[in-house]
Amino acid sequence: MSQNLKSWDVDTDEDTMKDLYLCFSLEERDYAFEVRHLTEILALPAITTIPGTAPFLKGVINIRGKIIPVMDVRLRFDMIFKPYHERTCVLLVELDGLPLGLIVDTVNDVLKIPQENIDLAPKIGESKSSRFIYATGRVGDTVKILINLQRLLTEEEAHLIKDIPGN
Amino acid sequence: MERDDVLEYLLEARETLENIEKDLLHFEKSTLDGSRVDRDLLDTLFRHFHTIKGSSGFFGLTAIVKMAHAAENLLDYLRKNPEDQDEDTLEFLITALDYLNELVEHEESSPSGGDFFSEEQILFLNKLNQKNDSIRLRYMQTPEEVPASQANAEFGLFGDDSANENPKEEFGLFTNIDEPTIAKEFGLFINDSPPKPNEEFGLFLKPDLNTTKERIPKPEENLKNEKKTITKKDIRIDTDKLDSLLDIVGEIVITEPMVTDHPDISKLKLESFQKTALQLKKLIRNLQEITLSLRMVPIAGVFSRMERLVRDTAKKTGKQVKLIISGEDTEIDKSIIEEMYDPLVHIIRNAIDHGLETLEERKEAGKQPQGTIQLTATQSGKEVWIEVRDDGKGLSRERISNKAISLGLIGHSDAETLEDKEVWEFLFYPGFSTAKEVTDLSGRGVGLDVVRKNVTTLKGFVDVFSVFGQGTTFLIRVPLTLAIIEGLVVRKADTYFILPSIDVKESIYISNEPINELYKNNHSIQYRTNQISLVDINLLFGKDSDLNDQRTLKEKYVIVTESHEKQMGIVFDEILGSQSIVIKPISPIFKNINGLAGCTILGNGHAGLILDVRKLISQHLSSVTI
Repeated sequence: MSQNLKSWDVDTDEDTMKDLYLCFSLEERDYAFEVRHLTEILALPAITTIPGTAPFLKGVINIRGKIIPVMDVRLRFDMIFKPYHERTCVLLVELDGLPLGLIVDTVNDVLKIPQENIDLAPKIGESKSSRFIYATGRVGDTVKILINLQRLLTEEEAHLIKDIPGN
Repeated sequence: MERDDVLEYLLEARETLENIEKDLLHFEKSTLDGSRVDRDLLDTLFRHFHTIKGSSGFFGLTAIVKMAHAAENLLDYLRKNPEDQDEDTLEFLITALDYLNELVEHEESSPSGGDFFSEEQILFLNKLNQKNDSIRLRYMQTPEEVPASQANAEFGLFGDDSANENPKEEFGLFTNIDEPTIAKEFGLFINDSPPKPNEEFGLFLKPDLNTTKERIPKPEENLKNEKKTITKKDIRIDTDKLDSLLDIVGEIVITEPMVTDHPDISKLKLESFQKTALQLKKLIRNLQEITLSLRMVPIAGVFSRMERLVRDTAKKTGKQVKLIISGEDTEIDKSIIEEMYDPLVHIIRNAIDHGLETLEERKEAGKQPQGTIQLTATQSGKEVWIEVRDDGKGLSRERISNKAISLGLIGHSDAETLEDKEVWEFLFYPGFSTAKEVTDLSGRGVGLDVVRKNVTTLKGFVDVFSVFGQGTTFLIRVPLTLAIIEGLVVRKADTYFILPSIDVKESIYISNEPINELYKNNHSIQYRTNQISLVDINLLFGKDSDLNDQRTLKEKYVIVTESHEKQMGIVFDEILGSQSIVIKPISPIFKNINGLAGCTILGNGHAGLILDVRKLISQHLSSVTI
């Protein structure tokens, strides 16, 4: 899939993917990330919980014979868990060659946010979720919060994983 | 020259060298029992060395060429003077083979333009060449066989006139051989022009017309033979390609029931559809079997490498050892075979070094002077059993338990009551060695613990049996393949788990069985004559056990699992049945996962979690004592 996107890139206008952002919402806030990371948008399939890992890593799903881990972005951002419903989506992304599913409330659309409309985020306090935010993008009257996907899987999180009793 | 081509050639060369090794060991057997090797074997050996020489010359690997050439000369002499086969010549050939292996290995790891890289290699080559020279001299001095002038004319082929007077110098040719000469010489074979090879062969022949005539058809025969073997040869496949094929086939296997038992059609009466579906099922099963078998190779490759090991170890220890190999046709996953080499080397070395007695000891014990090591492979269900049995002195219970006491593993009083089997287990304890002194062969800190670790990573077992005075047997049991396992699919709440069938002992229904709660999260149940720990999978993954709620316990299933003789019951809601499971790795995003061996996709489209039962048992039992 990612290869398709790449060849797209080359075949058509080089700038096809540039400045394009996928927008989704959590609670009332609008977030966005660069569309080049996105492989696919899916309805949420059955999740198999992997026990003993961080709570935001919900488990694995089966996508056409591939086992892909899924992350609940709400939990990652320290929001309260919200039960999944029919419109819950999985955004399939690829980060450093690793496929990952992101569970989000609602997917909005793909928007073009030109470079000049992007302002690097000021240091927004010490809130945990602020680490994932790198900038804001102005789209008309609204502001999208731009997130750095790589940060979702940083090393320090690996150590937060719950210890297993009896170890 | 492309590096890839060279690497490919070196792989081929390794194969040829392996063949040489096999043949040389035959050679040795006949040398030792006094019978002479037949001409065919000498020819084959000659041909192998010749192939190595020719192809290496093509790739400009001069050191290999020189070494193979010298060995070839020696063999050529033996072909004509079979009565001169002795241990000395054999030793030369074996050492030459070792150096060739070394050179090939060196070229693979650090390409250096194909030259010698150690003093010993050059020294040995000179020694071998001297040996060749001296036998050639002797051989030429036998007047009725080789008139001197003719011999000179023969060597004149190389155009070295000084040879006329001093044959010794002439032979120096082969040591100082310069590249163009080699190129020319080997060019003969590369161009495949038939008359020239004859000439080359003639080079080392007695200039006796009769023999020459006899020999002439040989090279052609050789060529033919080689071609024949080539057509039978396997092709090499990139393992990545094989793995993706296996993946796809695995997916087809999984998807098949998803299609044929699709809920949309399950209520329809579709007789002919069912028939076709059945046909498809059969075909898919065949496809799966064949794909799996692609990874399977006979264990003979590893076993035959043991012959050399036995020979060398026997020599070093001064013991007489006979190796009896059987079941070498048994097929096993290639990746497993490769992992079996080190454990086998270790066990066999131990068997010869510690297990077998010396000649005198054997005589005293009324045994054959020659010790026997039996190396056997058998397929048993989904496992391959590899057995190394020696007829040596057996394990000394006293020494092992004393050592265990001195290491603080057991108390004095325990030592008496332990069963033999439990005593042997100490051998697998890290750092446990009963060897009195560190020898060349063992006692270097690599112990049986490493053997067990290697085998355990392959999901296998190592066991030891011994009767004092009669010998010791090591039994390694490994699964046939790692990519697909037989598993029992079970459900706990919404999650599907797979327990590898080899770890499952029994499943029981616990509606009426009494469950003892020892304290919170620690339950046990009577299983046969034992109380075994009963756990809830939640507990293993860090949650509270729902076994605390006795009411929910009714109508649940306990799967009794076993690892290293330790048993544990795991409670599940439902058992769905046993099936072949294609193992898929869990994403590296999940770090520090304990107790899971992988994932799989089940027929219903759910991802299932494969439990690493052995890890679970050892983890759980180390934290809980009943």
